[in-house]
Amino acid sequence: MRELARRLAFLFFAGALAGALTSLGWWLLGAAGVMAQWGIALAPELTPAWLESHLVTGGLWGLLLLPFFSDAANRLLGLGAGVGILPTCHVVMVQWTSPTEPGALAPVLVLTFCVVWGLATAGLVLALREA
Amino acid sequence: MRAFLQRVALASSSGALACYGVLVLASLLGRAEVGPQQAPLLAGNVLPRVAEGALWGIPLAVFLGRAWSQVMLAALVLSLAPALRTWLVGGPWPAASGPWAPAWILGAWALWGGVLGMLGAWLGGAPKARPGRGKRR
Repeated sequence: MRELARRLAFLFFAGALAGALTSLGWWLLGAAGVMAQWGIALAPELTPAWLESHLVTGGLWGLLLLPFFSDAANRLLGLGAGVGILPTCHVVMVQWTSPTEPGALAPVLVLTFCVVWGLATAGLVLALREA
Repeated sequence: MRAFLQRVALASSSGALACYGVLVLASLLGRAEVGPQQAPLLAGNVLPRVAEGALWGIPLAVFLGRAWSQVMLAALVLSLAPALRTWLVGGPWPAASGPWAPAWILGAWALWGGVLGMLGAWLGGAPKARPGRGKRR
């Protein structure tokens, strides 16, 4: 029971930290004007509430890696990247009214960031778990 | 390094979970008109508070792995920091007004500290209490 709870805590922390880091990357892309250049209307303002929301949602999505916690490093990284597709689907299909609402390239950018988030989460899990 | 990172992860996750629990309890008390009314439990209100709990919980990592009583005491002392901040600077949670406001704020954060300490000590694997000096083996 305690081992399961520890795993969940590690996954939440890894997902949350990866979520915060990728959110900062997302904000940087918007602040640098790259999103406007690509015709994507998603540049956010860096506020504590925005960052904190992404931190917690990243942690919650990270819990999806629980069944694969003990897998080999390569497999865990691959699955991490795969799990990144799920938050992409949630953003594109649930949060937006149409898949290309904020711009034609927006789904691609969201997918890229979510896959990076998944890889970062898996990498952090590898750093946290016992060898 | 890995061990310390693990302790940070455990303390932070414990802080997040403890904050969510206290948030729900405070909201229920508010609805029952036992305590001050809290903001509705929507993602926009809950997620930033849970993140605050996770961040405030991180310093407990220093004390994880010690005896239960030490972890609990450390968590309760650490809970004074967000309580004082909310009371003096003001913050969105817990919503409180009137003469009992400081007691509500301190109580909510102390409860958070208590839950954080229990979760942290359990997850961190606090060693069992050793018999006292005067006891026979």
